[in-house]
Amino acid sequence: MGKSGWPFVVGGLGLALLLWGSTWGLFFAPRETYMGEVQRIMYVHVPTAWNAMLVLSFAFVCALVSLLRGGWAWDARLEAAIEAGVVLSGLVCIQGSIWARPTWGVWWDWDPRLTTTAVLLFAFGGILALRQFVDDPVKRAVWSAVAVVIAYADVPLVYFSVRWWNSLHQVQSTPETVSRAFHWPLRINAFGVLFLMAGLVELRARLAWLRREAEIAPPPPPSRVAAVAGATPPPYGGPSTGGTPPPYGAPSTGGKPPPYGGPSTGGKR
Amino acid sequence: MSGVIAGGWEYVIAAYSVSAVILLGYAFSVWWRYRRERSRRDAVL
Repeated sequence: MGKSGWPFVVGGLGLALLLWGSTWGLFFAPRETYMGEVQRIMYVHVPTAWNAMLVLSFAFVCALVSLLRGGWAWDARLEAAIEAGVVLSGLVCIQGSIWARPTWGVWWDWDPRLTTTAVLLFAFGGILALRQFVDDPVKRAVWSAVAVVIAYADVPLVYFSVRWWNSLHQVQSTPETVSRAFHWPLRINAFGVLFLMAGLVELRARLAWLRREAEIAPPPPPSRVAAVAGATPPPYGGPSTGGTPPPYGAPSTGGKPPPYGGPSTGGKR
Repeated sequence: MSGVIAGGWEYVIAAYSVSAVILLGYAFSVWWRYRRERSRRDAVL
């Protein structure tokens, strides 16, 4: 995991795009004929939904790679993607609820699209909770990756629910079914959320990596502590003095990492 | 009953406000936790 500042640049660009797209959608895009002003919620709701599915798909890829190849970096990315997916799924439920009240007359309905989205939110929220409760980092990585692979089955259900079942929620829009006047704010906000979440997922993955490093690396021997005391710490990304988390099953360079599936040597995060 | 929703700005404002609070709040939370973890790591080294 690097130390470069690109997540801040990409995240900042995402925020700027969101500001631009939202201003366009709120004040310059035309009023929709039937839904009136309420349709402007689409400019934040739809990009949030798209990116929630995208980031959860990334979590699925991370889970597969983590299971097939192992590696703490993929586990860190998995943790980051799950958390971002939960935030976006929660947000999309809230935005949808606010849209549902004036258009459907209710805040919530157990409609297939809404129900499968709620299942998605609770499934991935549960996986985040599972990660908090498992102390052994290797078991945590494996169990949560397996759980993500299983929970991901709900993502296509969310997407196709409006086609497969009789749903209050409208079917997916396409460029042909949406007026061209509405395209740009929608697209700008979609890229805004994408860039913002890309930066945040990378930063969150670095955070998870640092925690894993602290969790797995053994304490330095007293002689090294004495030698390091007063010395300038090396830059992050340089040669480790404490011990970078070793890959699953690989021999340790600093101490004794837990074997794949073995008992934890670390404590709680 | 015209089938047209009249008004609705309050819902639009609510949706955009909630989105801004959650996205900015999450961004701040990630940045703050990352900064704290790096400080802790630098202190250990």
